[in-house]
Amino acid sequence: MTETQLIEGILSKQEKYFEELVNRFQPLVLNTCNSFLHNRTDAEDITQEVFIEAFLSLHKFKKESKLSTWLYRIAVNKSLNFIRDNKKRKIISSIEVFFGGEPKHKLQLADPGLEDAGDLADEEEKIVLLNLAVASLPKNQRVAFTLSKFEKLSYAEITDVMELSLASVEGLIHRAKRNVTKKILSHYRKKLA
Amino acid sequence: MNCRDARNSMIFCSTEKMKKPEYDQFLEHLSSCSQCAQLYQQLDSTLSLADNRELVQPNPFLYTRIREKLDNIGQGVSKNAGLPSYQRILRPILLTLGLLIGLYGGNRLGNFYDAKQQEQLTTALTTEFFINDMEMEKLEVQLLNDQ
Ligand SMILES: [Zn+2]
Repeated sequence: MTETQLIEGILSKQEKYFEELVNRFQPLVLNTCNSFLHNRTDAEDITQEVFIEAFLSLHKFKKESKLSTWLYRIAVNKSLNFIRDNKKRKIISSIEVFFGGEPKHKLQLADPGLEDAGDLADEEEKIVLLNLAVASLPKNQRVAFTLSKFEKLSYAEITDVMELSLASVEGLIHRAKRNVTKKILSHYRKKLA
Repeated sequence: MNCRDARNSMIFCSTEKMKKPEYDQFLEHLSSCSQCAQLYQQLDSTLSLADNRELVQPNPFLYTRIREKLDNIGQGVSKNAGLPSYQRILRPILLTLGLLIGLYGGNRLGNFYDAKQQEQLTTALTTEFFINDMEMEKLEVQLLNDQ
């Protein structure tokens, strides 16, 4: 089934086409949301919202771009809005604690199982540290870095999703890599000291 | 190269490839400074996790949930929606016609029923029954007679 057939089928509100869209693109949307939220339940909730929004606004979709690009864009926006509305305090406090905050505070991430950085296994600590370092980036750097490193999108694809020039995307990823490295390095330096 | 330069090189490494003399100095420092070597190893193993992320497996029930939500906001999809309008109108008409043809056909079949033949058959059965009945009586009479 081609993308055009899929779109036309959904626009005429035929169930099998919408079901096909959800099945075909669920891995893409779910993993993108999870890359931002680091929590399966939240990622699934946002994935549902992404597909509902896609269904309701498909008539606005410009057929010259790929469906996947358009779905990435909705997934990124929905995830960022979710962080802004629901997890803002949680994530910011986690970043502060991890990168030089007061030691009496406990590390909190979207995953309620990860309570205290000190108690985390080495591998888990690294994952949390990486996620927090990325979450602490300015919004555009975070999106570009996440799509590049976690979702393995090419620079050209990121350009389409973010609707930015190639030079801007390159610049964002370059700065994001440096900032993430600095954050991680600073965390380990404090541990060594 | 001192520790500060080594850390700057680690940051530089994240985006660019280090050139020959500087890279050799960096490696030399790592071999002589255990703290920087440990730092570099931790940094490298943490950053490499970005390239090997575990994928979340799809949820097979996700579509059903989305469908429910769409129904709740009155934006459902349908199995028949999207059929051409002539098909949407024709479908119930054809169904009704099929039903009427079925009823008419059933009625016609019923009219083939031959009343006379059925009467003869019934009579034959009744007669046989009586004959049989008579035979039974005969046997009883015989038994009575035997006593
Ligand atoms: Zn050193």
